[in-house]
Amino acid sequence: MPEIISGIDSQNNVRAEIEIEGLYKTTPYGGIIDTGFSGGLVIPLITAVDIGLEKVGASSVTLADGSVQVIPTFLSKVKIGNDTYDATTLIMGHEVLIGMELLHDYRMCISPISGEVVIEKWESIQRLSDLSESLRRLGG
Amino acid sequence: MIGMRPEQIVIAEEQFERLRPTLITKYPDQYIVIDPISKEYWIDPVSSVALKKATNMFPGRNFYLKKIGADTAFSFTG
Repeated sequence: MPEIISGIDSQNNVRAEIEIEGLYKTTPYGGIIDTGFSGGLVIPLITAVDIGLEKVGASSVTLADGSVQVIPTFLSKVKIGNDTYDATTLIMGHEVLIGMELLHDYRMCISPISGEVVIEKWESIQRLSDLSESLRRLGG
Repeated sequence: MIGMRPEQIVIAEEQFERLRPTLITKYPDQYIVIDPISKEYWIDPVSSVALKKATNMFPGRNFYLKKIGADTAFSFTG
């Protein structure tokens, strides 16, 4: 099973390594996993310009202070581990943020005491679990 | 920097309000992408899939994204 590089940084942010594929280039980023963000991906304007993204319009977004803004919206491709997804991408802020919609297929375990973060594709875990169960039944 | 002309957003919001009573029972918590020019719309549980449906139909256009049953498409909490 391919490993998704992830961990807790010195600022106590949970980060995971992803690759963002734009129109001009593909670049790796250690994005912050934002469990408070319901969407796919947030990237800063400077990053969007650097990699080139397909603009698709705008989205209404409720910000952390409760205010509502209309944010320019793009589509990008994001590689997590061995899998690539289309990601609804908002342009704002100063960090690459990974939202819960992008992590929908994954199980994530965070261990703050050890700084360890494990992100695994749920389908792979289910297959292993089914295999274990089958072997257990075969074994009697 | 909004990404769409304000009048397009108004048209899309009006279309959403017209559709809301029907959509909220049939497609709760799914994403809707609205084309303010044709008034066509695309629905999917995943926002990027709904957007791809729209861009495949009308490449290069600007669409408006909302979530059915919510005030906004996305939210930041905390």
